[in-house]
Amino acid sequence: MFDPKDFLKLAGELSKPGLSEAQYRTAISRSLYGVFLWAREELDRRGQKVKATNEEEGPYEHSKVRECFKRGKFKHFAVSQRLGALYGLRYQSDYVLDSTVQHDDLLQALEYVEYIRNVFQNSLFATQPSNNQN
Amino acid sequence: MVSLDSSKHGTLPESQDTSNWANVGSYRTLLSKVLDYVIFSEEESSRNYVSMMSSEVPASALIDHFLVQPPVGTLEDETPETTFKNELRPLNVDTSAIFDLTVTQFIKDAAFNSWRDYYTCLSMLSSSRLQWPRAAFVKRLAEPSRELDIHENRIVVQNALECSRYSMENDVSASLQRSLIRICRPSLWENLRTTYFLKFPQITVSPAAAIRTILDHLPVPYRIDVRVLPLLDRPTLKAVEIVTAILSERVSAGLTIEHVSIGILTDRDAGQWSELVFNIRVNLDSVGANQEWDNVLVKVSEEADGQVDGEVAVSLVEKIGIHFTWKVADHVRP
Repeated sequence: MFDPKDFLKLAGELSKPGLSEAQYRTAISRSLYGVFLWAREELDRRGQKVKATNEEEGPYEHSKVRECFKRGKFKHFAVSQRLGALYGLRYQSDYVLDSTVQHDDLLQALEYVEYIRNVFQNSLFATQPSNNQN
Repeated sequence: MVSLDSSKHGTLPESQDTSNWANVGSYRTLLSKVLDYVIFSEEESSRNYVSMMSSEVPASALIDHFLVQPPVGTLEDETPETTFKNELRPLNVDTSAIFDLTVTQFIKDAAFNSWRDYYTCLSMLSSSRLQWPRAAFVKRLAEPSRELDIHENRIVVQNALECSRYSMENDVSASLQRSLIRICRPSLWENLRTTYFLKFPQITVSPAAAIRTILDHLPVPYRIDVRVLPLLDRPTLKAVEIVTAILSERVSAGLTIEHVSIGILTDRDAGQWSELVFNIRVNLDSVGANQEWDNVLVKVSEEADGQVDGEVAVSLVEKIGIHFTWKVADHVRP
């Protein structure tokens, strides 16, 4: 099974100065997807219905994951806001062509990732899910 | 030109004595004030007048004329506009412009402790061609006078709102309403909102005016993406006000915010949500920025938890984004 954290490794590798804008845009996008898929899988393992069961539900996964951090058992305002900030950078990287995505934008995205990673590892998903959550 | 005919406003008393124009002093004094206003005012419109007039008559010539020439008399026996135009005609300047400036100055100087001042302004405004003397009028009317009782002040505010509504048709409603809101005492503004906005549903504060009025309290530069305007319902505006107050408090406590940009973040994948986002640029390193970010979020959470208005609480937590950015250290990530 693919580990979404590998997307974060790739984003880190693309954070060197002097690379192309396309690479920085790709890295930012992978940063968001690395965090999002990591969260989705962990939340799913803990009984949260965030994964799509059919193709039509697919686009709703992002908002379901975000909602988990906004309210309920996994509420974490700081993660929710950083995920939102990362989502904004990814939006700009993937869709907005009339603005320039720079190296600094990627570094900023990775700062958000670093904070979220720490919370995931040390707090929200620090312990393995119990069997009855599945 | 639209006349501010007081008969359209049913709240005015019967008598309208506009003959005594000497209330604000002699003609000379008045003109001197006008020149002071033109020359020293920070307002863009005034500077434009200076440049416009200076193409024909140097400002110094105007000063010499008004200050050296003996006073012609008072305005008692003449209508203000004809007096001005007759006096200024030899100078070949834009008499209407000067008159507008004078109206504005009159409005600023008038004590508004009697209805006469009030009618005088109305009458002068009816001869004025520009919006900004009216803006000054609205500002002055929005100042509750100690000489008038509560009922009279309410009438004054009502008429200010009428002026504001009238101006709305001339694309200056936002600035007028901002002025009106800013200058009103909180208690008066509350009264105005609860009384007149209900009574006169046609008078509304535009979302643009409302959010600018709130964000004007930020002690740092800000800009607004107009795409957020559709998001500005009542609870969200209140949430914006709360976040603005928290940010202002943090700035007072030493947080260095370079600027704030209000933008929109939309669910591009499924179209499920849109957030109004405070994009806050801070002059801190990563550790400091994250700490300050968390401090702000904690305060916002506390405000949400303490809210008696559930809609505002939801807006604070779910409809407002608070995103910090900072100067990131330039090193390769692992």
